[in-house]
Amino acid sequence: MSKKMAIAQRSEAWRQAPHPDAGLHVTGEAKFIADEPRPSGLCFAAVVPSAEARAKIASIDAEEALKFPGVIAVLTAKDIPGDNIANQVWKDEPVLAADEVNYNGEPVAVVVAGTEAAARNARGLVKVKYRPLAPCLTLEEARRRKNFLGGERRIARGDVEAALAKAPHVIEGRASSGSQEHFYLETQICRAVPEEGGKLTLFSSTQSISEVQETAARMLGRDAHDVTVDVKRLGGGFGGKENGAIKWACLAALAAAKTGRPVELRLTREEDVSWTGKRHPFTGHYRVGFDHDGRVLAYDLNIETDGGAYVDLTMAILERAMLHADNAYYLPSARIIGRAYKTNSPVNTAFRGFGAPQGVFIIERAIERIARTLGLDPFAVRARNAYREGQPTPYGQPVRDAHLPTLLARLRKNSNYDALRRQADRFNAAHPDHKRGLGIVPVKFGVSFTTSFLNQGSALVWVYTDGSVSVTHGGIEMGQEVNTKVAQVTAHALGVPLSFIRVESANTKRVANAPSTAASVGADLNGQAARIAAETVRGRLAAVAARMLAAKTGRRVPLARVIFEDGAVFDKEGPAVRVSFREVACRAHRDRVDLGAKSFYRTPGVKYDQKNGRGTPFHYFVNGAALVLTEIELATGSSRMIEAQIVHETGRSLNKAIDLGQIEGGFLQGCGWMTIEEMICGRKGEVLTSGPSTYKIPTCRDLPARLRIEMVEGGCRYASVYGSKAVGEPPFIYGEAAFLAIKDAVEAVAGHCFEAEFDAPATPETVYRAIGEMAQLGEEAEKSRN
Amino acid sequence: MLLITFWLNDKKKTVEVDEAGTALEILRSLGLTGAKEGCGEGDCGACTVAVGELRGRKLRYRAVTSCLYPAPRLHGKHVITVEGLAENGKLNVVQKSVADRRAMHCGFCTPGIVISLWCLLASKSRPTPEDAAEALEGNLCRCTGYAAINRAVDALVAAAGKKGFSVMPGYCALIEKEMLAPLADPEKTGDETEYLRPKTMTEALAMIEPSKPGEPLRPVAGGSDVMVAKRLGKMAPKRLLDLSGVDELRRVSEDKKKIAIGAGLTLTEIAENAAVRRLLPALRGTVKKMASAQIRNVATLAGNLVSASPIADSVTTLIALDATVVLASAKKERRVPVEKFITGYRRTDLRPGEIVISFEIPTDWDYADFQKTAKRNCVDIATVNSAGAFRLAGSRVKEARVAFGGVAPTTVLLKKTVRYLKGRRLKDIDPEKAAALAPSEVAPISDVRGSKAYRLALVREHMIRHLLRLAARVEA
Repeated sequence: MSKKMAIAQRSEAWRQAPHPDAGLHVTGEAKFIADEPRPSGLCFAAVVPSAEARAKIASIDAEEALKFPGVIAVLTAKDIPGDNIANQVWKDEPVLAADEVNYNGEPVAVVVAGTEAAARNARGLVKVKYRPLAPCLTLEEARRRKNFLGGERRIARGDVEAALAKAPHVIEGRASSGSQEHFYLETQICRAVPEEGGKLTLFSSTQSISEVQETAARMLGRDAHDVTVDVKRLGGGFGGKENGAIKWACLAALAAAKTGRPVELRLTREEDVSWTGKRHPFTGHYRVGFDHDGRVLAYDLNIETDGGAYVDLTMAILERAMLHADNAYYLPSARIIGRAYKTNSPVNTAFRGFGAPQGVFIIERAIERIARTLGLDPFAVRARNAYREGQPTPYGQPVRDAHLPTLLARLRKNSNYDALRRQADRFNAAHPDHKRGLGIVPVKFGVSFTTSFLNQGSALVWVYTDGSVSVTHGGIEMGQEVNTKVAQVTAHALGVPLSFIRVESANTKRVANAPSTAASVGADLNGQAARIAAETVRGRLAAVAARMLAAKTGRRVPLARVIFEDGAVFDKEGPAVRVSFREVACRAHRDRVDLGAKSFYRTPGVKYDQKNGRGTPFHYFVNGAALVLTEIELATGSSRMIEAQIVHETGRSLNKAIDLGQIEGGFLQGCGWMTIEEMICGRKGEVLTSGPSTYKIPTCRDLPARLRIEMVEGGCRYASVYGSKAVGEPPFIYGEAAFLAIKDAVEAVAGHCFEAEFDAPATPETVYRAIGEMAQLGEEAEKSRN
Repeated sequence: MLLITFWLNDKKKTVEVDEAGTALEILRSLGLTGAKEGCGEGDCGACTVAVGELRGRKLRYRAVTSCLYPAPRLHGKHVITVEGLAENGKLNVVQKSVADRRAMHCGFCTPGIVISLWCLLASKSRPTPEDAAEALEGNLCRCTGYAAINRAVDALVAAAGKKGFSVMPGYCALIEKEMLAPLADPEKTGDETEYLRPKTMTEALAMIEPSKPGEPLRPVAGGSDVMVAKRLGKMAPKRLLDLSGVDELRRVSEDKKKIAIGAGLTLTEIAENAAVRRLLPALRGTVKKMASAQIRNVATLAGNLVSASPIADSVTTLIALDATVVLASAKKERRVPVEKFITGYRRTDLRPGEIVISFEIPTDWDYADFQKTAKRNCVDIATVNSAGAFRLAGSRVKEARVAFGGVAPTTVLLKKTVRYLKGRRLKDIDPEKAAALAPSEVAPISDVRGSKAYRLALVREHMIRHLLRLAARVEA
């Protein structure tokens, strides 16, 4: 190995790091909120849910419940001292329903008792009288009643009508995707611990410490500084604990404030699935104009979503769906109109992708239809339409580092697409009972909060006098290993081994006003902030070290030559003489040099005008593409993936093992959404699929036998901390390839002469029905030929 | 309350438990919070622990979901939790493999996955990848997409059986010896006796005598159904009769024409039984498609039958195989064909004072098979299940029994369709014709697992496949 290569490798070695908590997780030592030792006097809260989807509350009678042994209090909206508001932006959603309920499961009261069992058993004794009103339970009904949430949103570029009129081909269609339960393994929980003077600390399973703090404080009529929120780790989040955690934290806070006792509120799985919001179902109606080669000329799209009973994050999700309605394709003219509707369902909320997967799904169906109409290969049509460098999106942001054509070519080569296609055709000709299909989906995912002001992050770095380092940032560790990445960045910036770094729990006292850990930007915002803070401290230490080195060698050492590496500090031009980082830290303290820094980072250049649908909402894009080969069983409609190939651009990954895990995990979660995960509600809006026995997420058997993932660096001109790119959400969209593969397999039933029409999820039943329709189309065609 | 004694990792413990409590509650109250409640219905695996009990003189460990494991049943068992695997600060090889391959993101499911894998390697010296999938299909992970978990599994499977590979903590051998000494029954610390643990059938039958005062006893075998129902408030039996300690219920015997399977054998034990494997592959296939490893490790055919769900997989197969259920009370024993034993939706002919003691299943079928269609490919409740059993006379169908589950308030044994098949030569049987008859004999409803139309279609499709498979088998 050449010396230069060795140096290059060493200099990149910091980009590898094991899971810092792996040893804790495999021994059971890692503690989640419910695992922490119980404070003395801990009480438990259980929520009384609305039994109606829509009703006026006539009365709430807690007398019997209060007599139940162990019950300490029953709290209703009347007990809230401050604002009964769970959503600070739209202010439409109460923490506890006061006069009316708007979905089945909406919290009406909370029972506090000495044991979990007593709290749960007593809540049946809280008598709530309702005057039921006619609920609106479906998007269709909401459309009919014109139950809008927020206003209409619009993104437009060019003259779509004129372009459609001139286009050689125009087709239309519709596509729908369904709801999805987050199914984080740790259900929602908050432990509220009262402190002196009416202050509180909330240990909440939230992705957003600051929103919980602000909302709880206002609800209690207190100042934000009276409520501390602390989060060490979550057992999964996926967006469901962004706004979704606020209500439960507030209810625990209310119970603790009212009783003066520490209170834990934990949802059971059925409660969590029944009461908390899901991924937004979307329906899109499109018209698309294209030329003879399948190049899109105009895209006219109307999309609608069911936001549930309150606004929550629906408008931002609708916007992101619209901002990804182009997915990977240049649309010379486009008109994208979005509307959200209110129904009497639990409040749909953030879920990995935040609307983007839903927007992508519609145009992918349109692209498939273009290919079918022209008899072209869908892979070729996708490649033909993929963004080239500098082409503008419908909202006017030019696409930089446009790697999609290259990535698609790589996917085609890696997967040996043409051979796969031939093999599938041969298989289909030989097998009357099973069919195989291929699905391809490219992804261009915009990174940043589209609500531009949220793109900020802070970190607090302290170097102790022994050289060890404490870092706090605003991000929440929920399995995506943001803490590992922040630790790596801090260690690299300070030139110390990873073992020197401890990442603290997220805590509103140490880092305030943090945006939610969401939009895939946890590592970007908090990593950048940690880098800045660490560099600030390093700058101060460099001066100290320069003096120490000068004293040792008798030569002056300019600051620019001071190198921090592997826990040592030295002069670039005399690396033999070193002082340890520990010594420098200790000396700095004695010299009264500040060893701590609080930093602030804001993403440069992002600015989006939500009203006019124009601007630069994204710092950069993440690109990639996936292919799935699947097999369906005609007798039942069951499917199973055989192979998946993914090419994904990571920038200069901070940690390839973490990023690989995000790609694998996102992909399978997306496959679940597209295939077997189906939310079913009853006539009163009650969730019927409220547990793992009825709501099926993928198991270890659902992963394809062959899964090949290639991570490519791609461009890092437009990237974030140390050239890395966000990775959390984009891979989720690869799951759509599983749907498209099933669709392709269904179409094989009639020799690929017709296009199958069915919505996601492609459950066995849905697929079975589509197979039947396809077979009938095939037979009719056969008859008309004869 | 009961004062029970059991071994927890490397220590013997005596603790007071609530008769209605679960093992998970006890372990967590003892500060072992590695096992977690992810669903409370045994379907996610986050609460998985290993339960060891003596089989002969050997300690045998099985993964169970501790959220459904009755706390009193821990008496005399050895429980290994994720906290007990590392010894002297050194990770167990299973833990190390999972940690080294980053087979975790958030870590919430990790303790369960580690234990499931440990149980696999503790019970099989050379597991296959299929064994590993079977062991892990009951452990949900929402973060990793299982790819990294599979890498950890592959490494372990490759290393298993090699020299020096051992997953067994050192204390297991000592506990195995200690367990040979008999243990006194758990001490009652309250007035109300709610949890009875008979050791012999005579004892059990005496306890359940209907003339005894108080609320009738509810017999429990695996408890996987009763514990869920209890938790959901669908059933609140005050008094439970735990039959899992009655060894007489765990026997398998065979004669020329039939096999008798004790009601106390777990589904795992049935699948592993050599006689079942040889004589009733259809039953083995059925059992392996039921629930997850953790549930199969406790659940029994008797429990599946008595809960009388119209979608119970094993009931469908037992009916097709013309099984007889053997029931006993203190006074007498009686035999009832399984299809007659189920009298309605979740209703049976089980009389007060009776328990299920065994199943007698004819083995002289020329061909039998089981089919199950569900939303997910494993660990799912069927939309429709079916089983067919056939006797042939030369090239003719002498006898056929075809049963369908999930298509009526109770499992349906087809009659008209079978009349069409009987006496007919195989080559004269038109599967489409049989399949056209079958739907007229069922009355499915629409629910979360599928619509009526889909279920009717599946009845046709299953019927065709039973006949095609039968024909293929005869040809072979």
